[in-house]
Amino acid sequence: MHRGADDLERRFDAFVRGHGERHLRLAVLLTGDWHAAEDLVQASLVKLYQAWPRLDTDADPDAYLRRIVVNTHRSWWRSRWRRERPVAALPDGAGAADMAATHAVGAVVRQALAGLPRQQRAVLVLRYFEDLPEAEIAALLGCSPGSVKTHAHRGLRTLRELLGDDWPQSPVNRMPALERDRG
Amino acid sequence: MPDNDQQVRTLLRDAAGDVPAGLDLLHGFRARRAARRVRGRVALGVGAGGLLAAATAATLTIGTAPSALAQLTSAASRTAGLSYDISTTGVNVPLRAGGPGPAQSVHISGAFDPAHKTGEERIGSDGQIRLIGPYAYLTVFPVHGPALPGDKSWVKVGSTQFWEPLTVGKGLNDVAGVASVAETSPQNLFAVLKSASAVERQGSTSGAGWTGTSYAFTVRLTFGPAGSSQVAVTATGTVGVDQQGRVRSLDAAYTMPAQGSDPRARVTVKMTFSNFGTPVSVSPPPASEVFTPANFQSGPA
Repeated sequence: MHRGADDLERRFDAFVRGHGERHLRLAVLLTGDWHAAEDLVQASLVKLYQAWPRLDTDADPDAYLRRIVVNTHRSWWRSRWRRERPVAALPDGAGAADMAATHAVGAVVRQALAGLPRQQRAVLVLRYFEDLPEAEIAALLGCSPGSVKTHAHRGLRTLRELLGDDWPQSPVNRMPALERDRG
Repeated sequence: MPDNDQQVRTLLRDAAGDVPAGLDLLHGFRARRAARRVRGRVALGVGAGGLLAAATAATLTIGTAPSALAQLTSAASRTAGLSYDISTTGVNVPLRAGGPGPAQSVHISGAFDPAHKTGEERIGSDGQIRLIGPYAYLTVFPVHGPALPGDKSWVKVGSTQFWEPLTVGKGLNDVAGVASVAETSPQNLFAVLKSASAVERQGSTSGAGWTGTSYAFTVRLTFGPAGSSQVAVTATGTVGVDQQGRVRSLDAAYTMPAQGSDPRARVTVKMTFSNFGTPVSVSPPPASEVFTPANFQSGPA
């Protein structure tokens, strides 16, 4: 491998190490569980890697990868629609009581998100987790800014209905500092 | 139910906050990519009349499972990106006409932190290497010429050779003695492992606190700069990879040809890796004890 390719490889590795977890978190909100999220991000990284040598030095790899993640999730969803359908109410899951307290909140919300129609879920995640403006969300999802507003409104309403009384009244269960448990 | 934007943000942030321990995107990405390359080679080999397929048959695995080479490459890449403790025992047995000579052995212990470019090794009873960013501080093994001038007990050089793969021109003579590059520069070793050939998955293996898979390998090691003095040897060995895809053990053996007054010798190396993920903090030796060679520029090598 010649030196230019070595540099590209190193920069790619450094990008994944430094930014990968951020996209993993986006992916878990889109997919609902960590295994699927890992799968989605790794598949997206393969696509990013193929494009990596062509990315301009001014390009934003994060934005590029986010687009790949969102589009890949959309194509996955389309091929799996028979297995993933919005539900009117949360199914009886494993039960938050069976999980550690620090994970219970996250799991409940992820489960609720997974109950939303895909487009509403994507809009909420891109709007409130990625903090993207409506115009950018519209471009990512291939819809109009007006549709983004509609999906956001309906998504919040559905989320409210799905969480209902199960949601704590105050945000006391804050997640610990975002450091991986090394060992 | 949260009403305002900030509450929704908090909701989603909390929902994505509990990343499971042990998830390694880079590791999984490399395994996935390696599997893709294997499938591509199969298709190419079939289309080319089987010549390529025949040439790579030893390492091809038809289907979605990564090849043994891919898994070893993935483990080497993964481990090279982590911080770890290392323990190495190297044995050098001179092979003379009249029979093997007395064995020389050295024990090396240390820790490497590639993300922060820090590391340290203790070699034998009093040898040390300290790696701090672009610089390496070495004692016992003089780099340029004989003993260090004055009362200096450390020499300062660039640390590049410890972090980057071996390339022609980067002499291993800088760390001479019984310890070879494989023993004092595991980052180079990981890079070398990725070029291994004839990799075979052997089966289950285990060590202190871990279980995993053993791989046998053959790899070519090159010592010294290009030219008549360069030495190339073939090493064979086994690597133990744990269930998290990390290299935990490496045993290797090779025969060094005679060099100058040094006879031909059989070298065996046993390495173990542990304590992944702990940052390594290293302090430089006192400046008054450090010699900087005149041909070492102000920047790192």
